[in-house]
Amino acid sequence: MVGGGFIQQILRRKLHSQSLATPVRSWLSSTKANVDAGSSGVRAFALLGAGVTGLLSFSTVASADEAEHGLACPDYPWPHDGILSSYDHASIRRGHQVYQQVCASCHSMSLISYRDLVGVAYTEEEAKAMAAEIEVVDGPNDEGEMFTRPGKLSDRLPQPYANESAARFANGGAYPPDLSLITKARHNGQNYVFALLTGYRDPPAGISIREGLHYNPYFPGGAIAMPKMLNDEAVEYEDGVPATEAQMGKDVVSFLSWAAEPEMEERKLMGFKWIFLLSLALLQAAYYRRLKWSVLKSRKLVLDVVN
Amino acid sequence: MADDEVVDPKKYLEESCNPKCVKPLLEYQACVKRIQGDDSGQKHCTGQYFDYWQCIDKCVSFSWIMAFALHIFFFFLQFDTEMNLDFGIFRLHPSYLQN
Repeated sequence: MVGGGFIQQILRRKLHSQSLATPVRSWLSSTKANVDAGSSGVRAFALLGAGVTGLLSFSTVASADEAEHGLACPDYPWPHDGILSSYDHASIRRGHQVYQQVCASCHSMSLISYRDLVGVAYTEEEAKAMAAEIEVVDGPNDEGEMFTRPGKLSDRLPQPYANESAARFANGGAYPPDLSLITKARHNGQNYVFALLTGYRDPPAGISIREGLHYNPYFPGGAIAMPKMLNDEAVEYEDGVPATEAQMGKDVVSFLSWAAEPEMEERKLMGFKWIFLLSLALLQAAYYRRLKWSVLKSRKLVLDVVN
Repeated sequence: MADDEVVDPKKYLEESCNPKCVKPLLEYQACVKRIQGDDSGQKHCTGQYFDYWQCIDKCVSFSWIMAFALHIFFFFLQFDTEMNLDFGIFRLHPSYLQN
């Protein structure tokens, strides 16, 4: 497509440098300008050909984009989708369990603290107990040495790798992204993450993925470094819900949605309340404006010609 | 409630959606046949593959939406259903409706 446009530009420049704007009528009828007419006719045809090749190349580029953009993910009916719908907090709790047991070995969630989970998925005692299981490096003590202590509610969720380079080294050059905001950081994030996690399939005929990568049609390009992590019964849920792949996918996406947008429930309540109140205010304002303007809008002007 | 063998609802829905998406599946299989002899490595069937899976995905998400709508319908009916459906997106279970 770029080549076609470039050729068009060159030809256009050459055409202008020759005879500027030869009228078509004179081009058809003149005999003396036959030589010029012939060459400009060839140029016009070449321009048309360049345009057509440009269009054709554009179409082939478009079809190669299919794998580049990834398969479009469908829209699933999330329970927290509606205008006044809250999160399914039981699902958030299960999703955190899935994250902890399946995902936390590679993915960090460095923006979430244990205290954020209190009142959302766990009680304070449960969250404290969970935090106490991890070891945290804390600031210099009186002797100037760093020391480790059991975690507290105020600590962030633990990171699997010390830094990005270590993460890339351990995962064949690919960096497992931080998941704190992942459903907001990807287009149509919630549906995309669910489709990605549950969408590992055999590649189409003719596509081969190199060693170390796996085929996933939803991932842009199709070759993802993460293997299929969600398998039936990989996790045993505390509340006894059967842990199918789709169930784990749904729960972990609920958890990730909450992690990215913890304010969602309050936001929806506030939004509903204020849109309702402002609509009433709009009606009142409209009435008041029309009331004040009625004086002017109902006046009559008399045009009287004095004889 | 404990199933000895859990059935993944998404796989189940994908399989049940197969009859609806026969046409793109046949197109994909025709493409596979066409490129079978190819050794250049340039030919592939990504387009037909995407068309087929897009059809399946649409059908699956529609089934889930229909099942979710059914759940809302029963919820408003105050109908204590003995159904124990777990489609992964929601759970229709008697205890849930006992609020």
